[in-house]
Amino acid sequence: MSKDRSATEFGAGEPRTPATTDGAKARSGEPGAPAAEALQPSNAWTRFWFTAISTTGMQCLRIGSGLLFLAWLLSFAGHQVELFSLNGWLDRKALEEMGRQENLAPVPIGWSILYLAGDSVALFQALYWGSLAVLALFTLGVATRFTGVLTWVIVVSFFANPATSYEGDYLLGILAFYLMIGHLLVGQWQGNLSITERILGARDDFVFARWLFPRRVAERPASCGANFMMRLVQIHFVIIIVTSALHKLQISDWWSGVALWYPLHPTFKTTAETLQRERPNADFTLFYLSLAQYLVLAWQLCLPFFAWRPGRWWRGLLLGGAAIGWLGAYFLFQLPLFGPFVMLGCLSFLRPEEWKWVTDAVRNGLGGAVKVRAAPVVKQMAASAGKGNIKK
Amino acid sequence: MSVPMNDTTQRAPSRNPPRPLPLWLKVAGTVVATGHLLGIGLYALAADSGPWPYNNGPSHSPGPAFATSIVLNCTYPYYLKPLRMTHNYHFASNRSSDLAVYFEVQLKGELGEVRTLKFPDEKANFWVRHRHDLLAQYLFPDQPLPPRGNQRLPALGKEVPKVEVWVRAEPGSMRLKQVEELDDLLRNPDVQQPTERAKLFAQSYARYLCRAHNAVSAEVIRHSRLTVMPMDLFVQRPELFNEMKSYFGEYRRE
Repeated sequence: MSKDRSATEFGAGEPRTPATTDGAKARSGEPGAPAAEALQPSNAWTRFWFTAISTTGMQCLRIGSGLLFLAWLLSFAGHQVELFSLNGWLDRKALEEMGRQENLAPVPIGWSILYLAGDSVALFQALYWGSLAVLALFTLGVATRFTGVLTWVIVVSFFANPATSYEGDYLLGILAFYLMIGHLLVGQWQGNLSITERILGARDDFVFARWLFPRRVAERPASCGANFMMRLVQIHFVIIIVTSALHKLQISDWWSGVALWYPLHPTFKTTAETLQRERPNADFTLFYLSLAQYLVLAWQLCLPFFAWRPGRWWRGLLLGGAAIGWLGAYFLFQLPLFGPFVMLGCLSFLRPEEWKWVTDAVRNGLGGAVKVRAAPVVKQMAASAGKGNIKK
Repeated sequence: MSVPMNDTTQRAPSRNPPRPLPLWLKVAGTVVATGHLLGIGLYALAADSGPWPYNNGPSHSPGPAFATSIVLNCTYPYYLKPLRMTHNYHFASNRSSDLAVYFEVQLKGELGEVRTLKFPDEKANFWVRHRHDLLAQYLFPDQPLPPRGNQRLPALGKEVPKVEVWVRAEPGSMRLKQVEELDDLLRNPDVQQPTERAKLFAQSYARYLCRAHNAVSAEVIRHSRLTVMPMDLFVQRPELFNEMKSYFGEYRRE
């Protein structure tokens, strides 16, 4: 077996984590073990970036992100003209003024397909509803190479308006960008695709392909492009989370542990009476708020150390933290996009066998069925990833 | 290896092994991934930090010179900006604001009827309300007037230059007014004015609402109040719950 071949069989591409029995041989140091060369530390880089993996993770990420894009854009239905068009809150005259004095724009003004509509409301409406249709097609997996590029163009176009630009929108642009790259790459080198599929995307990307083309789906090879894209998402996500944590540490409210106080006390809803009622328990309140806030900071700063670790506890920490963060961002900070983005970013760290477990669990639906299925899958994970990495 | 029957994607590699990637492709992938992620990382590093305490008061400090130089001359204009990756992940929402803001717009119809709209609109859904809140955020903070220096006299036959500043009208409200450069009010160090951006946005909001509601004129009124802080649990600030109304001036539809 060649070096490249053996590298591709390590599934998740996790360094020093052989996923096959060949890998086990190599780890034992048996002379002539086929995977020995690929497992050497010097090959860690290649294993990390260029191991072929199942495309399940990438497809799940596409469906999750696509649903988020749809929810994001659909939530503005009825208000799309006022928020995004040149006839809305920020009109052409204001944009032209910003163009003359660049420091007036709160965010960089870039290109946008929405500018094509000009002052025509009808054309703008067509662009809006057409964008929703493209996002739906991409989520479903129709012509993903084509709709992937269009999805990125659409997502970044909708945060071009400086008046309604929100920093969470940029995070959606990141997801759309990597999904576009992933879907452009996947199958180009290793897939046996027709010319049409090379241009438009594999038929197997379609969410219902399992039922429509059962034979083809079974033969779908693993993909280095999917792994490459997932690695980019993972590292970019870590940069975002750690940078955000370091930025928080430059702010006095975060150092003193009172950052969570503010969203819990909305200024226009807090009254002298409510403050008066809180005074007897002030020390207790501030103690727990600061503790919770430092746990958030610790999770963010330590993310690079546990995000790539397999095992139930590490995954619980990763996904549990993301779930709590989502609830906090939505209910406490009233921020609609950070939570789902963090959840999708954390899900990108799941390995192929973990994705398989998740998809099986979703397919089986009910909790009872999941339990029955989980046992053999966990055994399989232990066999393929090494017992040391899976805790019972 | 036991694989469940419905595991199709996992089973595929053993029957149809992936074609090995050639070295040139790995090198190209390495260069692309490293360059891209370095660009992202440098942009995050190049962001201003602070505010830190300086002799002249708190101020922001620029990022390291090597990072800002690479970002400004290379990665930002030619790579990150076209890709719309222009956020440095120093999220504004991490920082609490000194003031909380919402705004109202008073619309006047052709017959003189007045209608007041409030934003964020409480009837709108959560996502739209959030965008309305962003619109309100752009209307503040105010800024102190730049030092006036010597008194500026008008050229012969010309008017005295004017400056727009907030002028207290009655308790709890102020109006945006043009004041002559020679006015003693400008000598007061507490006088403030809205930023150019806030004025631009307020005018644009007024124009839009006039168009949308077929109104003759519109006036943006900013409502602000001091943020409730943890110290308010221990020390009572008398002005804490006072609301300030700031009138941006009437816009008349052309």
